[in-house]
Amino acid sequence: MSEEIDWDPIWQLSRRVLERGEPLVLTPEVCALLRRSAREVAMNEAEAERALGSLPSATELLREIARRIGEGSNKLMRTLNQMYRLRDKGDIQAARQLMLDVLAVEVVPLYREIAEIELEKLDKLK
Amino acid sequence: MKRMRQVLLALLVLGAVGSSSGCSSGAHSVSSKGLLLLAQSAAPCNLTDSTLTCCIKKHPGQPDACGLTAQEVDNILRAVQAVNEAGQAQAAGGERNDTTPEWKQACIDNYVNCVNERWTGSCYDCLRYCEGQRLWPADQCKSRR
Repeated sequence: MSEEIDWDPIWQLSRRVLERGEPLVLTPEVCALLRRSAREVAMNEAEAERALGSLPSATELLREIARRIGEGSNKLMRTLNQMYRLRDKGDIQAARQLMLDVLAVEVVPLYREIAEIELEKLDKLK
Repeated sequence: MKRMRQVLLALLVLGAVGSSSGCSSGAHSVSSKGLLLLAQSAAPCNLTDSTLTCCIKKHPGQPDACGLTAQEVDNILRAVQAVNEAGQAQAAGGERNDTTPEWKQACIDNYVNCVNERWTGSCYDCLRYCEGQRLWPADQCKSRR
């Protein structure tokens, strides 16, 4: 699944609308992009569909999708950086714990998958 | 002038590549601090040092002699250029340039991890994207199994 993900269109849309104040126009293409992206960040499908019913709620949907993508990436990347350092120092347990901490709260499947991959790699070092 | 710039950048790049011993061809990794220093400083590496730097100097145009591929050198070179360009753009925009912004440091750290950990995707392209969007595209450059 993760191989098919391309978050650039939704990220660009979020920057145009949420940062530059451009109007969100709910064309069929934009609605499809929002639906797909909502699914990819593990948002409830029925709620996402309801949100597409009006411009204000669709804008909030876009905001939440962008938040999950952006905050999730920043947090995961920071944690990976710490984890690699711990691993390189030989503290595999602490490195593992960082990945477990990510998995305890992260909901975005792609970010969970990355944490799981790293966890598997760490387990091979034990 | 262009050639001189290329040579200077190549010398600068060498400082961003860590080596465990002398001119050996052992495993190397890109250093985040090294990349950052390269992006902020024009100081070339020490002519008398005995690290990977001297190996490259002894084998100009032969990165494989020091355990690097031409692609690795090229990737690092392009990354340094990208970081430099971002710094110049900030300076032109009036933004402080004496310290590296947190977002930019994060992009560099992620690039370094991307290279060292052999993530999927083009680390260079992801660095450029990160600098433009202030978001590491984890859908493109990420851990591989």
